[in-house]
Amino acid sequence: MTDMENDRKSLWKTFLYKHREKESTPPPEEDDYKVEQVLPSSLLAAKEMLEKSLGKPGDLFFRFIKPPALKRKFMICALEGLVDQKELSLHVVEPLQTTKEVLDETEDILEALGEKIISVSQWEKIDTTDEAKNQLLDGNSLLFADGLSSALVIFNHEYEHRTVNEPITEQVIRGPIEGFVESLQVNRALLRKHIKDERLRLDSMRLGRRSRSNVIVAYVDGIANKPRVDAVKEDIKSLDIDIVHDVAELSVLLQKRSANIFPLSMTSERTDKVSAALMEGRIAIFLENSPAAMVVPALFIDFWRTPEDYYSSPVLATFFRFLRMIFGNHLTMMLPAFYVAFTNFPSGIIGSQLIMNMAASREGIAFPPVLEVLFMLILLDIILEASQRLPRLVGGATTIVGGLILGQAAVQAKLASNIMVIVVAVTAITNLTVSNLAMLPAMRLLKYYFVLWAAFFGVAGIVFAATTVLAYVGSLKSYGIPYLSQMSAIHLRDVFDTIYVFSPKMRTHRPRTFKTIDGQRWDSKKMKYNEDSLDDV
Amino acid sequence: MYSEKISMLQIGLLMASFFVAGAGLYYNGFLFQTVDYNPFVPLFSGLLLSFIPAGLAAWLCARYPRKNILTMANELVGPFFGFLIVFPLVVAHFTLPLAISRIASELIVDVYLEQTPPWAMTVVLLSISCWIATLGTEAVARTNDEHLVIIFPLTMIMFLLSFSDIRPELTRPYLQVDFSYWIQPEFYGSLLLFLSFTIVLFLNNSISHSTKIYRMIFGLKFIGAIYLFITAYMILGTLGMEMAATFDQPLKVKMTTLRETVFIERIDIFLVLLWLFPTVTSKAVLIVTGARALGQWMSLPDYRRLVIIYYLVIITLSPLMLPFQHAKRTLLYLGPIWMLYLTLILLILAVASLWKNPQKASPRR
Repeated sequence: MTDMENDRKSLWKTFLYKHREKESTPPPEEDDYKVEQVLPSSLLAAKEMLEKSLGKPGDLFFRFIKPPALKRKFMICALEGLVDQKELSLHVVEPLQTTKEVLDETEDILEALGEKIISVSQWEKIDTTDEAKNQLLDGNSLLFADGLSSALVIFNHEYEHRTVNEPITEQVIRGPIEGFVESLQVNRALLRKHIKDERLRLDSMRLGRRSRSNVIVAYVDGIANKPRVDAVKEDIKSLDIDIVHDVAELSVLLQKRSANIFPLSMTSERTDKVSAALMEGRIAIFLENSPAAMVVPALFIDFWRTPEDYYSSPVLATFFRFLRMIFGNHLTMMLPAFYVAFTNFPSGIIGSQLIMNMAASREGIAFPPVLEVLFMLILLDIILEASQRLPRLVGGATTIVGGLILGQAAVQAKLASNIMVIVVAVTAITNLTVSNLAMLPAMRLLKYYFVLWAAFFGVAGIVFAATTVLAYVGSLKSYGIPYLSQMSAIHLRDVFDTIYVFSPKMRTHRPRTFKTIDGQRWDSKKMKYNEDSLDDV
Repeated sequence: MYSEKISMLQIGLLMASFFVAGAGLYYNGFLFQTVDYNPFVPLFSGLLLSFIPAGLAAWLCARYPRKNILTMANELVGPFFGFLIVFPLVVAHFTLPLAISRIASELIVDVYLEQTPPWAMTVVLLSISCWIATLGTEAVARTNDEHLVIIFPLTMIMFLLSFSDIRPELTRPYLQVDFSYWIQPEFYGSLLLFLSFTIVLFLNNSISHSTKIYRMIFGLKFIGAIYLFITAYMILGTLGMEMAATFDQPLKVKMTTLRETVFIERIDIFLVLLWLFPTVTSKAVLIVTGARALGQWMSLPDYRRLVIIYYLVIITLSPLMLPFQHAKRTLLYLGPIWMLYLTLILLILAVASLWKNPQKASPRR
């Protein structure tokens, strides 16, 4: 880039963001020049320091202890509700008060306490105020000793969280029905339960300038492509933001094209789906307080795959995937557009009987077909939006009122034709055939795009719309992997698990698309079938 | 120079889209006008004739893996002569989309949109192709993959449905011992369809396994020939030779004269829609290869801006093709000139390559 271009860009930025520069607060202290403060040695000073830092919160409690066998006073400090107080009483307070062991004051008393007196499973010694504050906010307890400028962190955090239950958004008939929850610890355990491989890596990181949420980047070492893992970590590290609430938000933040409507990462609550993705060489990202994992790279085909495809016969799986992807997807996007094309440009594609039926059903309707379709589609989307966010008890009633009464009333009031109501109803149902709901908004928006093309160019317009959508999707990439990989013919072997689900024997290797290190997932040659017993089966 | 990567299979599918689009748009029109009885002999003559430049191209691509024709010409005959001999090919790549768009728009307007001016449709088709070309070679290839992977089976179904209208006696005799087609310009115009392999020459630097590219080039030629044979057979079997030879786009006529059914009046009419996909992508690949070549000569880090310039120029020039006959004549002359010129420069490059006897690069896996 030339200097002139740089100057022009900076001028443009100055013009656009001048007001922001005034509003922005001075940047925080640079890490290089930051001096880490040592913890005060006096208990009262430590108490005062913590109260001052956290703004004297009501849930911050201190407990002073004077063990009879020891000369020093001790102070326990924690945030109420975040720690396991039972464990604190039983394994820290009680042993301290009842100990009869006289510890040598010349040795490091805190380490000696951790090793000999208190009976918690995990502890760590810290020296700085920043560490103390961070550990406190993470829900751990601190044990201070009078006269020492260090403290003992007792890892006894216990957040309230849901119990593991069935994922609401990804229900299946067959297969495991346990889903991730908002607790990172539980999610980590669930994943380890599925993959008991020593090479499963769960790298922890922090995200959020103010939230400091824990993030786990999960992958299988030896399968996942290392540069891609590094790229994911780098992206998360470079995200300098106050708070990220959910992995879905993280997914949006990590997207490079802000105008893109297609999800470039797959969020899933299902444990089997995420562990299968890890085994394909993908990377899963878990965020504290988020009940789902974000899987990257994600491909277009992923949003039409369900775990059940792999729990049933390949023939059945192909048939149902074909139904979802070809009929479900295409009808959602194109059916209203075809209605417009056939009514606006009756060029003899469809039979004369059907054209006459359509004309008869439109008799007396004041709107042209395009407006009729747009009116009904907007109404449908409003009903869908409303029913998604209403309480369940009211949601059903809204659907009935919207679907049946409004539809019938619209026909009687000559606002829409009977065929239009059928088209809208079919569109509403086919909307839901997508296996991962993250793709649904894109599908809902695209049907308007197709309608507009059909309004101008009829059936040919639908082809133009399809071409442009396909080209756009074809230009997308998720962490360097083309979004249409597996569906396009870059690697022929990968096409065996797209719309067509082939026998597992043809899927003995991991998808080449992900450039995995260890490519084989099943050595089918080692499989010894007992032919006689199989005959009986 | 450009780091885009496409597989050998994708190149094959791009070549296939030329066959699918060309068969629907212009090939059969030219072919049926070359003979009096049936066109199968000129079809296979054209195929055999095209093996000469195709073989040379395959040999050069295998000899210079990861080098496109620009780099090859640059190395073998020097930068100046290299530019001089390759530039006409780039011009051909840039000219063809305009003529194809005009012919395709004729088809759409005739079949679907009787009141739309063909020029407007030409602009729409060019706009879509150029927009796809701005997304880059990889995006063009992937779009084309999807079209062919999903749509090609549908095309086959449509063909099967059409067979009920075919009267085999109209297609006989299969072998016609009359070689007068060799002096017909339409025969040479039809050769244009067999030149799809030129995209390999321009994209050889982006293909993996290019030492085995001959398999793809020749394989696709055979499959393409079979496809052309089927379409020609369908037309002959429905319309008969006399009627078919009077139309510029006989496949379109075949579709519009089918028997009525109950629900779908003319089910084969959907075939036109299916042709639109490969037509758009084949134009996009011609544009993108042309822009890449220009970008390489101009050492541009991003060639896509050239596509936008090309778009503005081609839209301005599009009224040139307003009469359908101009577009048809362009193809009629472009076919033989392109084939002759391509054969000539490939021969020059092959001779220069053998003359200089460069170290053959080790084959890559």
